[in-house]
Amino acid sequence: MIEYTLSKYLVKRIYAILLSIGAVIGVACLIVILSLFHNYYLSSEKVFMGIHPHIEIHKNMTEDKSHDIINLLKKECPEIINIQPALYMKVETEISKVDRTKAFCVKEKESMTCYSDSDDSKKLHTRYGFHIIEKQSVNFLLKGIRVHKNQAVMDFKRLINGSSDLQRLEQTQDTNHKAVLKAFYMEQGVFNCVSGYFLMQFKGFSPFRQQYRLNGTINMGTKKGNNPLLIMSLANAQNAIEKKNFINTFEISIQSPYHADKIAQKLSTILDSSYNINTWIQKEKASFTFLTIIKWMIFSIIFSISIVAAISIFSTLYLTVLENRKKIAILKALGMKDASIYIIFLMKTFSIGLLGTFFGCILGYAGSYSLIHLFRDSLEKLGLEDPQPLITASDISVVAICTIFLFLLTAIVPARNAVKIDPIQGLNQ
Amino acid sequence: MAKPIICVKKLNRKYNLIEGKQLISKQQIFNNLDFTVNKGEFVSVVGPSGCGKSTLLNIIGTLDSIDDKNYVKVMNAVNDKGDVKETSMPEIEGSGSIWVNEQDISLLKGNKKSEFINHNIGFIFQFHHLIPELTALQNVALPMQIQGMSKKKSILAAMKLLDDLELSNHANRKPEILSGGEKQRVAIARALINNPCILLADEPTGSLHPQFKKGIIDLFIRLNKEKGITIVMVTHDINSLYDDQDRLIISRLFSLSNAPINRMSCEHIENNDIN
Repeated sequence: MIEYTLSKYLVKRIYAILLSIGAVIGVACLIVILSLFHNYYLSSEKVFMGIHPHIEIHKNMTEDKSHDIINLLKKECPEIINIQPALYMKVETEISKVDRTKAFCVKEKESMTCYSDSDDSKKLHTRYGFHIIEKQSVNFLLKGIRVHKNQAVMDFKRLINGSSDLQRLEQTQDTNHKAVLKAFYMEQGVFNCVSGYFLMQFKGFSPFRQQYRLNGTINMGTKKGNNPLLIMSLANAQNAIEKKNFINTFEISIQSPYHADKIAQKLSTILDSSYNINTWIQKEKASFTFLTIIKWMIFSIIFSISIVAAISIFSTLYLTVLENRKKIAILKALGMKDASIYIIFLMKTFSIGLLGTFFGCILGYAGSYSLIHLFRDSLEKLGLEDPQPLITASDISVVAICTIFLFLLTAIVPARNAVKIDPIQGLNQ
Repeated sequence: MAKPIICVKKLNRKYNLIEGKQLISKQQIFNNLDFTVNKGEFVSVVGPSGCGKSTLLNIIGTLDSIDDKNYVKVMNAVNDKGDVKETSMPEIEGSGSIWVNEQDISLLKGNKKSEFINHNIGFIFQFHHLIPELTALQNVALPMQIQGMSKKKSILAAMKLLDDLELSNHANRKPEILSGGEKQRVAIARALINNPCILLADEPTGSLHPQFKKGIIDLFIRLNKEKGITIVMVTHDINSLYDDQDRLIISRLFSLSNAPINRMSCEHIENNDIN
């Protein structure tokens, strides 16, 4: 194709190289930015989906009555994958981290007396025989949940540091049929540990401290609520606040989490107005708005970069046309059609755009890999969990289409100028 | 009876000379110019500088139009009474009709015009106008590729043509390392590659060393006689059109000027009155 041959000669090699380098760098930057944004978005989404069921229905009722509601909703709403009763409550808790191994107990006539073996004097150290390492008073959001086949309705397994065996929440005996302590999960950061033994007293509900073991912590990244999460089994939660057979929440997971609002609307028509229905999207509205703002900011930056790129491509091609007025005039005098002259410039920019996209994607992947590798710690501190170079096919398609479209768009005016060159004036140049 | 291949009738053309916003004067280039070239003729258009030789050639070759109504300038024209009035005026005004190879060229626009040039006209310019980045062979093959011919076929045809013009040794050389005469012969080969019915040569020997001039004119004569190509050549070098015995070696001369031409054998010259 003669247009392709001529496009190689008309656009100076140095210009083509500079434009290609520009395209490669531009595309690589886009890929790196998109990759980081993906990491951030996925981290946020993972946390949002981990700490909320897709839909929550709130109403105080007995657990027995909840079965009727669950059956009704399952029947009327086939989109529901899992629905379980739960107990959500804000509780003021005195929580103590204890070291149980350092205490031993001696059964005496009527009672048990516990001594600390770390204390040489063998003096009575605590009433319950635990060595209290740290004690805090925390306002937790207690979530008592049901676990079915090692799965909860909330997808918080991915956020767990420690044991992700959720069955332990409901475990009361070990394999030797000996009683085990009640398990719980707690938001990371309240105590600096992922396992251990704790004493908890829920103020206003029970005068007694109860023994628990921490199964793991929930890593919420930068997402910190006012009330740290405390998750245990529904039965244990009911027992802790001394409200047996009481629930106040239905946790629901659905097939398409992003359709939660629509399903919630449907559920509101099934249930009466005494039920309060929320979705994870509504609960994280502020976070989603924040993400949207970030997304738009990134697009604004990319758009600004694109404008600068477009201006440089435009001026380079404009200069090329000015420099090649004579050659274009010769081609016209030889009978080259206007469309072919257009094609010469569009083909050149298309090939530069394509080349830039290809190598830019490779450089972008390598760049985001290196960046993530080098700054992993900093990125993790920023809330990106296990950052990876995430480049999807749709990202590459969008970047490629935008780059090539931009190149072609900026080539139109210079190509049009080339077409308009008067052959007489061009030849006399 | 000879068949006319170029027929120019009542061609008028004037330039409005505009300086700033003032119309300075109107310069008449052609005044009812009639000019006919028959098929197979070798005609040389002569005349002093600025008389419109190249313009005529460019109009015949459709590179230029008879008038340029699109090129309009808004200006303050001063009328006879001295009043200044804002008006718009084409910078180039013209009229007349031109038929080339049975085609009214004023009707040719866009792609049709390009196709017409590509199929019917071979241009040869004073400064050869080869594309410097392409080799001689690529330059010659270019019009054929523009026509849509495959690269392989066009290169074969170009090679054959270069061979005919004894340039096959220079086929893979770029214009910058060719001599003036060689460049012009490559340009001629490029003009001939699509077998045009008309060759329009604008001062083809103007930039050449005298030793190459005769070779180029001889080549034109050979092409005219052997291939029957109609040639219209603009030149101010009338001497090159005469042989040693002072005989005109082309079909005829056509002058665009009334001024005497500095040559003994002026009886061959047709004059076009300029009023």
